[in-house]
Amino acid sequence: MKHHLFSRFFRRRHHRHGGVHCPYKDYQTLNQVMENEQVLILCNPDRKTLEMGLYPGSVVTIMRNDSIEQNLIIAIENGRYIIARNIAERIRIRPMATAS
Amino acid sequence: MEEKDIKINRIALVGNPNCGKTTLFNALTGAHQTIGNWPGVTVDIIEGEYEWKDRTYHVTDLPGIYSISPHSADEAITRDFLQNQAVDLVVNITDASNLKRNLYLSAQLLELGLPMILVLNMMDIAEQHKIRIDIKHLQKHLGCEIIPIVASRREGIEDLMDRIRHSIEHLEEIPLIIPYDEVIENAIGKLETILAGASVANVVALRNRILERFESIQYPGVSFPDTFEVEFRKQQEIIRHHTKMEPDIVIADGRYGFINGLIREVVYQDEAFGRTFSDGIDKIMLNRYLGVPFFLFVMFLMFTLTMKVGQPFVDFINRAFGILLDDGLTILLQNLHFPLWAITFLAHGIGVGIQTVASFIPPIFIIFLCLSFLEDSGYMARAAFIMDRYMHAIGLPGKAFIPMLVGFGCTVPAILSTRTLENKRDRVLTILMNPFMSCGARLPVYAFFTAIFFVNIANVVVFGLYLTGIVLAVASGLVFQKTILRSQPTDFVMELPPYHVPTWNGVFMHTWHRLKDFILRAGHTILLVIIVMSFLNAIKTDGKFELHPSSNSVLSEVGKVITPVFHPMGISNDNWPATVGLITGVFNKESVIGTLQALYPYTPETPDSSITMKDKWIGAFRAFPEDFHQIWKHHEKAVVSQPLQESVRSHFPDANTAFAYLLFILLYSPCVASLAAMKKEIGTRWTIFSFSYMTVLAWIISTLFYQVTHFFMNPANSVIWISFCCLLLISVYFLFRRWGSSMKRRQEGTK
Repeated sequence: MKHHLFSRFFRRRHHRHGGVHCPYKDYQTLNQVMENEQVLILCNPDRKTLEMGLYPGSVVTIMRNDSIEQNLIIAIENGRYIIARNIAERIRIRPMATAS
Repeated sequence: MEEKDIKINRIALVGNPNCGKTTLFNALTGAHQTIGNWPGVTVDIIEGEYEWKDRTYHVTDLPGIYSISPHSADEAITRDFLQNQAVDLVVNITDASNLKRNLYLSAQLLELGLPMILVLNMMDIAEQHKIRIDIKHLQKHLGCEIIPIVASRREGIEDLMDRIRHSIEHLEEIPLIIPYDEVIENAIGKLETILAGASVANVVALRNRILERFESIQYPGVSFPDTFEVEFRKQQEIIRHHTKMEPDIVIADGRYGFINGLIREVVYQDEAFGRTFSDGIDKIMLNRYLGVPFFLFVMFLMFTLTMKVGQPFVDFINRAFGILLDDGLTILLQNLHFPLWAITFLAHGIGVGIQTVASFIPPIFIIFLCLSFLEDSGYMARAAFIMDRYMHAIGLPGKAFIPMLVGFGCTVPAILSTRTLENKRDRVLTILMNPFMSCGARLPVYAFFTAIFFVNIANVVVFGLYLTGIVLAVASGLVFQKTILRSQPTDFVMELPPYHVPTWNGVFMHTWHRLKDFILRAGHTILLVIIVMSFLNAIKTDGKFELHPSSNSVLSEVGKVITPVFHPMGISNDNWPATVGLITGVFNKESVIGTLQALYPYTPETPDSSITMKDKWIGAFRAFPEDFHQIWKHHEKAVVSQPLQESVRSHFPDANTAFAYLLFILLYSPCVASLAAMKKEIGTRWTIFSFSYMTVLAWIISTLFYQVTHFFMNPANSVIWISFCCLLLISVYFLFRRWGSSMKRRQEGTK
C-alpha cells in the first residue's frame, strides 16, 4: 500500500516535469535555443510533435524564437512548424551548429 | 457496345496535410466532388467518382493527418473510416520531398494490414532538392506498390489509375511488421498469450490490437477481458520502468527508428536542405514589426471586399427575390383567389424565407472565397501565428482571430469559419464571443437612428457601438474562460505550408462546398422560423388574416405584453412597436427598421400605383450597375422621411433613450441564421446559452446606460435599477462559476 502511494506520487511529480526521463545528462530544452541554431533532438515526450517528425535523432533548425511570443518556428528538413512554447520546454535537445 | 462492370470500387485517399491530396483528388475525379455528410462530425470528407477503363471508382478524400493516433477529430474520422468502411484500396499519398515524416503514417497504415498502394507525389520538388529515391528497394521493404507522380502537372495520373485497377484485382495483403524495442516485444508476447483464445482474425490483427491499446487507440465496441487488463497495466509499468517513457512514445520512437533505417537505404540526397523561397517571404510576412500591419491590411481588404462588393449583390437579390417571391407571388395568388393564410404561408413565409437565405449568399460566398484563397496560398497559417500572442491573452489560439474579424461582416460565415479550430472548447468560446462583433446587418439600424437623433456625431456613435461590442466580447471571453470554459487553450502545433499560388479550381471548390453546406443546413431553420413569424405577423387577434403588419396582429399583441420588461431601459408602453421591432430583429437585424416604419403611426408618402411589375424588374436591373458604381463612393446617410422622424422622436423621448435601444440591438440575441449556424456547429445547449446570455446582458447594459443617463430624473428609481443590474451581473457570474465547477466535476467523473 505504502509503495503504491509513493509510486503514484512519483508519477505525478514526474508528469509536472514533462513526463519523461531523458537518459542524457548534457541537454538543453528546445525553447532555450537561439535563432538559426541547429539542434539534435534527444528526447521528446510529446506524441503529436514526435509523430510530426521531432523524433529523437532528428536535426532541427530554429527559425524563430522570441521569448515574448507563445510559439516557436522550427525547420525539419524542408518542413516548417509552429510549436507552442510549453511543448518546446519539454523537448530535450543538444546543440549542433549554427545554420547559415 | 461493351457492358460496364456494375461493381463500384471504393478507394480512400489518405495522407499528411499539404502533400497534394486534394490536387490528386481533383486530378482523379475532375469536378464531380460532393461533401460527405458524417453525423456529429464537422470535418469535411470529400467524395467523388471517376471512370477508368469501363470501371467506376468511388474516391473518398479523408482529412489530412500525420498519424492515426487520437489527437484530433480529423485523425479520429480517418481511423474510424478505415476501420468501419469497406474500402477496396487505400491510396496513401506522400510528399516525396519530405518522405521521412510521411512514411510514419504509411508505416501505421501498413501495420494495420490494409490493402494499400503508396503514391510518391511532388517528385518534381524532390528533384529540385536533389533527392533520389530507390523506388524498387522501398517497394521491397514496405511490401506494397509505389507510384511516383506529380499531381499538380497530372504526370503519372494515368499510370496511377492503371495501378489502382491492377492492385484492386490482384492485391495481396502483406502486413508490415515493425520490430519494436525488446521490452515492447516482450509485452506483446505476454499479452498475445492471454488473447490467444479471443476471436481475432489473425496473429497480425492480434499484435495490432495490443499496439493500439498501448497507443490509447480505442474503437467503439472493442473490449478486452479483465485478465488482459490486469496484465496490460503490469506491462505498462514494466515498459515505463525500463524505458522511463510512456509506452506510446516508445512505440512511436520505434516506428521512427524503422523509418530512419529505411530512409538511409533508399533515399539519397546530394544537397543539404537550406533556406527556401517561402522562408524569404516569411521574413516580411512574419516580421516582428511588419507582420501585424500586413495581416491587418489583408483582413481589411477581405472585409472591404465582402461588404462593398457583396452589397450590390445583396441589394439585387433582395429586389429581385422581393419582386418575384413576395410581390409577384402575392399578386399571382391573389389573382388565383387563394385564401389569405395560403398567401401568408407561400409568399410571406416561404417566399420571404428564400429571399432571406439568398440575401446571405453574396457575403458568405465572398468571405469563403477569400478564406479559401488565404488558406490555399499558405498565408492563413502565418496569420494564426501572428495573432496568437494577442488571442492567447483572452484564452484563445491565434487562429480564432479570423472568425472574429469575419463577424464584422456577417456572423454566419464567422461561425462556420471556426471549423479551422481543432479544439471544441476554443470553437465554443470563439462562437460565443462572435455575435458581439457588430455585423453588417445592424449598420442600417444604426444609420436609421443616428439620422434622427445623432445627426452631427453619427460616426462617433456608430464607432462607439462597435467598440462597446468588442469590449464586451473580450470581457465575456475572460468571464467564460474563468467559469464555464476553464480549460487552457490548445497548445499550438501547426505545419507552415510553403507559399504557393492557389488554383482557381481548388479555391472555388472549397467555397462552393462551404456555401452549399450553409444553404442546405442553416437555410431550413431560417425558412421555418420566418414562416412561423409571418403567420404571427399576419394573423390578427380575432383570427382573421391581414397581409400587411397591423397594430392588432398576434405579434403586435405579444410586443405590447412584453413591453413592460423594457421599461427600465426607457421603452414606454406606447412605444410597443420598438418591442415588436426587437422580436422581428431576431429574424433579421435589418427588419427592425421595416417593422418600425410599418408600425409607427405616420403618413407615408404614397407610392406610385402606376408602377407595374415590369417597371420594378427594370428598376432592379438598372439599380444593380448603379449600386456597383457607388461601391467605392462614400455612403449617403440613410434618408428618413420627415413624418417618420417625428413619429420616432415622439416615441423615444431623447437621444440617450435611443442609444440605450441601439445598445440592446447591438447586444441582444444573434439573428436566426446565426443561431441556426451555431446550433449546427456547437449544438442546441450552447445556442440556447448564447441566446439567453446575450439577451440578458443586452438588457442589463441598456438599463444601466438608461438609468445612469437619466439618474437625476428619478434618483430613487435609478438607484434601485442600477443596484438590481449589478446584483444580476454578480449572480450571473456566480451561476457560471457553479455551472463551470459542476461541468468540471462531471468531466473528471467521466475520465
